[in-house]
Amino acid sequence: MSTGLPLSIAEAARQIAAKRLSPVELAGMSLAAAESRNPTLHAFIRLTPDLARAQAKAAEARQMAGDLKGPLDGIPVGHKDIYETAGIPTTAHSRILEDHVPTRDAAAVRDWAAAGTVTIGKTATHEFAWGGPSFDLPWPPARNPWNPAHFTGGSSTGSAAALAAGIVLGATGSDTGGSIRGPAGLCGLAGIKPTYGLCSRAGVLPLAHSLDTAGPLAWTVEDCALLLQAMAGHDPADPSSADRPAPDLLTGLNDGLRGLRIGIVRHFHETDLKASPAVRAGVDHMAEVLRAEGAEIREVTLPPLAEFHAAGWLILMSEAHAVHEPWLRSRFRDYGEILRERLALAALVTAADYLQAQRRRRQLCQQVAAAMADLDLLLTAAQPAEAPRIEDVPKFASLETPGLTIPFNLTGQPALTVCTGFGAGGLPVGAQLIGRPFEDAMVLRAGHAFERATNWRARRAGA
Amino acid sequence: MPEPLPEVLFDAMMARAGIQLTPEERASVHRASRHLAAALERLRPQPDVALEPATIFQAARP
Repeated sequence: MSTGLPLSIAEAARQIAAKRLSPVELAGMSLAAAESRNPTLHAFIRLTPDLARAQAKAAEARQMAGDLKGPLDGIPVGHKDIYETAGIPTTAHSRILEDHVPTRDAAAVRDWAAAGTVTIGKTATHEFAWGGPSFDLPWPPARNPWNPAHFTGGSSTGSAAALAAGIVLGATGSDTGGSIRGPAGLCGLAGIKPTYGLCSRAGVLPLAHSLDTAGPLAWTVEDCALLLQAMAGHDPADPSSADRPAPDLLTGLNDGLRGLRIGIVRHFHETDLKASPAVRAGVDHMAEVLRAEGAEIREVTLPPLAEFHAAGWLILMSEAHAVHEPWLRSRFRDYGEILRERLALAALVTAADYLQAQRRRRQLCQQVAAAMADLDLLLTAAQPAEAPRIEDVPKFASLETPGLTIPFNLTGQPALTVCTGFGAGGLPVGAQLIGRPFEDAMVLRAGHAFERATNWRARRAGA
Repeated sequence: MPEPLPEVLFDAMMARAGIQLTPEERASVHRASRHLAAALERLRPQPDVALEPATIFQAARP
């Protein structure tokens, strides 16, 4: 039986507003669940019980005074350990930053705290959001709550594990090639990579500047919308931040799908990459549900997945090498084996290679925009199969097989992973919904409609 | 799948980056360089010499 929290953020918020749920008691349940589950799952590399209790007490005082800040007030969350937290170590799960104690909060940490969230701790990540799963770092890798012998997906590993185990109700992630959507898919969650530029990355340790996005993971799409609303908006501290008003992600969430045109990118998961039968069935199932909800479903063809993969990984590797170059020269042996070797490989990418990839990226962006000229959303798989056993993940996994998520890091579009069922091994599978840039609200609307029309949110890991 | 990068080139680029690999690491990374070669093969033929890179990426602006 699960020791986790059996609630979504939306439900918890309703109970807190009605004074049927105490933020202090909720934080206590979350911390107890963390103490109970973390020795197996390694979702957190550091718990912050004193901070959590203080924040929960303040939330409860607001509750009693009838002065709640909104639906996130009193909600327990985790922050990926590449999000800087003032006075709390932020390590990127690496020996390199083992003693790094920031003096500021990352923008999203600050924004969520201002909305009343309760920080339970810092969650595990692949080393610097790229190297993992690794067994030679100061902290072990997170494990999948649906089966702890299996991988969570990466790199937002601990955030996904903590959510799937019901330890927290929301968590930050980052997505450079799929690091929100991959773990969300493999752990049966919702996770959105927002439009590039929608959310500030100030205070988030970088992997690849032109691909990095900050975003939330949660149990439901509605919860993702609540969390994303609190972190979206212009921030001059992030040079990539779009100077435009924050969108309203909540008002139209229940508007339904009538009239929406959705294109299935079937070749991505059926021919370019042969996804498992459960994954393919999940995409078809989602298409049928969306059609029944009023959407028009069409087939659409994009450039081959391998084209996105080639450009995306050359850009990611080159930019990551630029970030890590000083440490590669001075502290190479302090990286774990996986990141050490991936960064060494990245050093083979030349400036000309990088620019060729950026040239191809421009073409790919134009081609996707043209393909979506009369479409509102795209639909494709989020993952090739259920989560593998954790020890079976190859050292260069992301390079060996074209990824289904990196195309939309290249194009900067909003992309949401939603659970579409379970595979033969009992582990979750998921699909992605992709929108036009800055139409994150529409992506969330469609994902929410799917979740409301299906029963996949009733099944919890360990239940 | 293409061959890994030529060994002379590989060693020169590691030296240029200031990276010192053990023999086991060198073998592993060199073997993986075939994935890099495959990606480069896909990108090198550029149909339009005037094509600008997305050097400063902007998804969209208002």
